[in-house]
Amino acid sequence: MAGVPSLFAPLTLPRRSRLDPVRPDLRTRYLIVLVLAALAAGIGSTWAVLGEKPPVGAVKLGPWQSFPRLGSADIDPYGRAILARGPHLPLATGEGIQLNAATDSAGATLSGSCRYRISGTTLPSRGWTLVVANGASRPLTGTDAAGLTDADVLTDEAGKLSITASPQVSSGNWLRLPQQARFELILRFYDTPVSSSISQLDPAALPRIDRLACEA
Amino acid sequence: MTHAALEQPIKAAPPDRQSLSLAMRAASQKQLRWLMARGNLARLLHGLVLLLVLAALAHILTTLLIPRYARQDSGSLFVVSGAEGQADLIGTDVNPETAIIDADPFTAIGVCGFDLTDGPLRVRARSGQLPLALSVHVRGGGVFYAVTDKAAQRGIIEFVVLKQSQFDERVARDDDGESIRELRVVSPVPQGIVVARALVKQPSDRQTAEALVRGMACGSAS
Repeated sequence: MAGVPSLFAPLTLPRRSRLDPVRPDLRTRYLIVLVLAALAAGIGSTWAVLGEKPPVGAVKLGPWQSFPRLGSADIDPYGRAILARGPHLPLATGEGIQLNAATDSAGATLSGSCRYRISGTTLPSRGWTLVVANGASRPLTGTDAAGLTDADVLTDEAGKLSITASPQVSSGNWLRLPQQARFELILRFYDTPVSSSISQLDPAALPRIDRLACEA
Repeated sequence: MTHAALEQPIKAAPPDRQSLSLAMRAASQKQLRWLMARGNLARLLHGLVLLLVLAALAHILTTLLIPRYARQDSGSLFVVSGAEGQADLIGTDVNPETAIIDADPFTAIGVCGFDLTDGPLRVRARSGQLPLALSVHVRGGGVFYAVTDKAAQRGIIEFVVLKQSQFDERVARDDDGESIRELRVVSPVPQGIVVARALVKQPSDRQTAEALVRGMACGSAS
């Protein structure tokens, strides 16, 4: 195939001459640099992709995001690798569903400088919990720990809830937020009939997150 | 000048050998430079393609190998839990290396590890007032079975975890026509953990929930 460059053309660089030991071996150096660069790029991209959430398999429902395959038998390789990097125990399909929100319903990042209203309906379940987590999706611990369960929240006659989330104490249903810090909300429904069909869920079936005001 | 000489066609003066040689050398050097530039570009492009292919291979290999060699996943960390036949309570552990990273603080979690090369595992838990679910997580990630207390028979959730070969042996041992009363769950890998999770809706439920998950029994089903 004259005129068609070979894929391995770079490997045809001149070999080191035995008569000239000082001459650098371009071919070997080229290969070493190429392989090292490829390893760095490959491993680096793996490290970058394997954060707290898998890069694939997300189900987006308004501000909420779920990764139902993490708790199933057909988990993808990225999900396996993320679970392998630290002790996680994802909710199994059939056991419940977990939803994370890093933004409000308008798409703005959640911040402890603001006050929010979490309102609307919840899914049918045996119980639900709403937990405040840090920016890396890890629940806050110690004195910063904050969260609510369905037993803590009063709803109206139609079963709709309204929770004020803010760093300052608020009347009614109140969820304490960390001061001035970026945070996430984790909503878990236990023993819910929709856990196996979450991708077909209407986002309106989940609570909205609306920003009320922010500190200057 | 003779007449015959005048009739000869006029010919261009032949270039001298030296100028011809210089012109050819210049042309060939120009061509050579062009060829070298084209060759370098081709080599650069091929190098980039090779780099991308090798980087993609390294990415795929590392992603696939991390679960295989990981020792921090829950299936590896808790594989020896429940060795005394009862689930061990986790999540309240002060050791940050074995604390579940994203555990719901409103749950109590009990764990039994299993290695099916030692034989099938029988799991038995009693349901209570609080929502309870059992799930089977395999080493390396993935959950292949889960059941809630809604499926409890007379307040008991019970099933047997086994390998495919152990399942086949049991089926061969079963008497024809006799109804089998045990629920058999075939694990795709020999090692993993059984997780009992109870919801703690109020702080006063904590002790009850912990007792509920600690009450999960894991023993030999040989």
